[in-house]
Amino acid sequence: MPENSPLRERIVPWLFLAPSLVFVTVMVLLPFLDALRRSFFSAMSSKFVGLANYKAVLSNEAFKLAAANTAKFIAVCIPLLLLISLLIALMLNALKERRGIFKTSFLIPMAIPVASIVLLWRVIFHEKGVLNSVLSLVGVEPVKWIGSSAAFGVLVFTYLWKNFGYDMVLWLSGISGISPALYESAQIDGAGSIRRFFKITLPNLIPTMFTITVLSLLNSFKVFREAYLIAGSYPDDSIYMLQHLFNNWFVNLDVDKMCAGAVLMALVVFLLIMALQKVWSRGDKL
Amino acid sequence: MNEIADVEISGVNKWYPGDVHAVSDMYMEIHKGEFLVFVGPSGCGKTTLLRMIAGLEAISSGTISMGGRVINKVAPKNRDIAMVFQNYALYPTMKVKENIAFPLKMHHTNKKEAASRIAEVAEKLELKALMNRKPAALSGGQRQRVALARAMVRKPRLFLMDEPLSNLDAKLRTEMRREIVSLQRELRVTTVYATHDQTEAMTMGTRIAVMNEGVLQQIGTPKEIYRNPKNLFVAGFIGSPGMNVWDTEVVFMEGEYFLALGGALVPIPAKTLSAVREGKKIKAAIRPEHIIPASSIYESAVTMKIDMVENSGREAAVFLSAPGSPSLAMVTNADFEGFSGEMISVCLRAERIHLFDAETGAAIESD
Amino acid sequence: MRRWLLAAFLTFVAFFVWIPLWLLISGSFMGAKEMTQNLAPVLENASGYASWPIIAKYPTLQPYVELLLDTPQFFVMFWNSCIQVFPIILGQVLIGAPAAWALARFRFRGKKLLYFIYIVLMLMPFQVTMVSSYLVLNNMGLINTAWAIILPGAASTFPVFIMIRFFTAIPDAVTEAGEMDGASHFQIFLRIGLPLGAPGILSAVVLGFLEYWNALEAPLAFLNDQSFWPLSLYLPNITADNAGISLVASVIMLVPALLIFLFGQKYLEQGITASGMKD
Repeated sequence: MPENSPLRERIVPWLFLAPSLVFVTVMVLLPFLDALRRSFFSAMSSKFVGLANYKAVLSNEAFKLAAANTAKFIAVCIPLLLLISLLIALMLNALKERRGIFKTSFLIPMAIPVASIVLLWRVIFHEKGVLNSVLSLVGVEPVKWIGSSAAFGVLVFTYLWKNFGYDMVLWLSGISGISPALYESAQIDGAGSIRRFFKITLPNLIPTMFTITVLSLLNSFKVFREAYLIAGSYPDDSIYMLQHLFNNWFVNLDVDKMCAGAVLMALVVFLLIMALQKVWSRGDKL
Repeated sequence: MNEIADVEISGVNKWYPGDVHAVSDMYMEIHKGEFLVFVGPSGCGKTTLLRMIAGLEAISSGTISMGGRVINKVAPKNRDIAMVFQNYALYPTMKVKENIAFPLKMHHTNKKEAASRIAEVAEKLELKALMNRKPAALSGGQRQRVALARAMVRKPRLFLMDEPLSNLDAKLRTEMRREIVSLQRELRVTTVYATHDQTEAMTMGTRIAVMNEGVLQQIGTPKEIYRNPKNLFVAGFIGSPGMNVWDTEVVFMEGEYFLALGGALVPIPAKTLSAVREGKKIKAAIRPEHIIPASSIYESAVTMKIDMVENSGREAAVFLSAPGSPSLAMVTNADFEGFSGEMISVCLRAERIHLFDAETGAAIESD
Repeated sequence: MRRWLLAAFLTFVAFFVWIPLWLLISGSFMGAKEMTQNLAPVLENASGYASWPIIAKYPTLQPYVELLLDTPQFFVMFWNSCIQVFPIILGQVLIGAPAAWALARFRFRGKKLLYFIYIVLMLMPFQVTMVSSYLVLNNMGLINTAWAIILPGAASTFPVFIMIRFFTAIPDAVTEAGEMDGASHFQIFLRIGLPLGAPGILSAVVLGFLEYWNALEAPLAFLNDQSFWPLSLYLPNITADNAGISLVASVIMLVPALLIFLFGQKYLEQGITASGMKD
């Protein structure tokens, strides 16, 4: 688009953007600014209270628990997810035929609504459920999968089950972007397949890894769905997540605390994005 | 041919961010009905200038006028120009007939008129059998013709073509070259054609504009450009094998003036004599076909060793060298019987030697 | 030899996918009696372990009949899901496609900033926008209506991001040819951009559908009246009485998602890949 074109021309992109801008501003940006404003006021007395809400949030036990759990979940789940999906992507990549059916299979969990599969998970992981009954056959004592801190493991499992297909596709596209010429010349130079993996595949996948990490990180908040559906609004402490907290605050109309909490989360996520953006662009120069 | 200037390019400059001066002070007139070729190496500005005429690039300074009206700010669709792109740019999701019909549709041409024009153009370019195919199902040459058809169907005032043949194989290129030229002569639409291939330029254009690094080097008929290159760049760019160029100076000996050719002396063209001072740094150039094998009895003959002979069946290119002398390429008829390593005598036709100022590269004009 | 090992391992993993799916589907054919018998330990705290047969011992269509003919509530919920999800997708395309076109094809002041804002918004989890959305929806009086779900959903910038990738891939020359041929910017968008970018739009649609069909947080927060709840909230309310139909309901909820997945898998994969490419 020529730079010194008449106003009529220059306005065109903005016309295309207009509906989206209107929606986003009205439904997202302005409300968020409003929430930001409210975070500095008390919900009940409408008086300016400065950082009082923030202090209340940060010292709130439930918040600390939920934040810690969310962080723990991310720290455990993301590496596992990355690893498993990478392994499967590599294996799939090595397989020339029949790839299609496997890919479809691994993506199906994405299509299965959480609400649909949840009864099955409940029955499997219940104290008197199928898993325990199978384990009892080999003499293992029944575990309270859902009602105890083992619920965390259940959550990790169900989340991995649902999402490994997504990351696998991302890995596959990253792998397919590596020029075969690199492998061929390495082969000619005598590098074995393990060597080739560590020297060619892994380094070239680093940009992909950053991407997948960011996306998985941000998707991980959605694990609330599995947690809620399996264990309800007040689950075991080990799987009490931030969304549970917000929902409960919601019910109690602690709007000012929620606003402060939302702003805090937005800040953390934003910082995360910036940090990963930095690492990303550095990864480019590798 | 009508000499009315149809398009006038006046003082046009184009800067890109980073101080890239892509087109520099361009002045030219494009005459109605002519086939003007912009030719030059990659980055010379020919495509940029073409796109400025089209309206796809903004003009940094200067004006472009069509029919007397300045069109700098006029949108491409209002300039009555059709363009054929290097990669054809056909609409992939539309069939051939829809591709060709598209410009007419956009200009709200009535259905009957549109149908007849499409049929006419399909006939001319032999596309009737392909009308229902999509571009992906066409060969390169077929796509080329569809692109041409789409441009022609509008009967525009000006055709612009941006290296349309560069993606075709050699044989197809020569065929399409002739087809494009014959179409243009028939339709008599003013056409501006950009290419880096000097053969295309020489064989297709009624006039050629040679460009380098954004600057117009010379504009004229193919004959003028070939015979009277105005500077070293034009001299070296047009013709293949290229002109022989060497550093030289005027030598006065035994009452006569000569040009140095390494250790030897060759006659200087009389007409340029007065323009050159003795001892001035100049370059001389001569086309390979103006060097002739000659008997050594001629005074002006120079003895050189044959390095290589390339005989293409129609002519022979002979590459010569001599110690202390610049190497020369000679083109003579295919009966030439010299072989590599042999010593032969050659004559340089004095009246065909061009002289250039060694510093500016400009041709030294004869009086 | 290695091929076989790989295939075997992958098949093993695939079982983890197919077995739950199979159990779900086959379980839906369990008659009420068989189901309560098998699941009593879980549902009613009976003694012993629950069991889930690979194939129902007494397969019957009875739960299907009961659900489809005797449970009007189910249809209400299904319908709720539909009127919440499909308008979101439609809205995302109508609003998002032109926006994606602008961000992909034009150069203008502020574009980079806008693009960045859109990415940040896309990556924010629900908890961040939950409160503010509620407040604005409340002000508009839209809480407890389908609009409370539709409007925020249609404003999502994720589909815009996906579509941008695909629109960017269209060669400049094709739209320039359109310009030369006399098309207005809108015509270029409509006749050249949309057909060429259709895979991108479909990718956004498939991803969007799978996302919103599953949605939980928003309905929970914005819909107080249970009669407005979509399937995703209705299903988990399982008690011993309606365990049988809950499975059937699960299967029926599964069907549209699975169908869209199977038909759109190609676009799903393209969409996932597109979401993973940085600018």
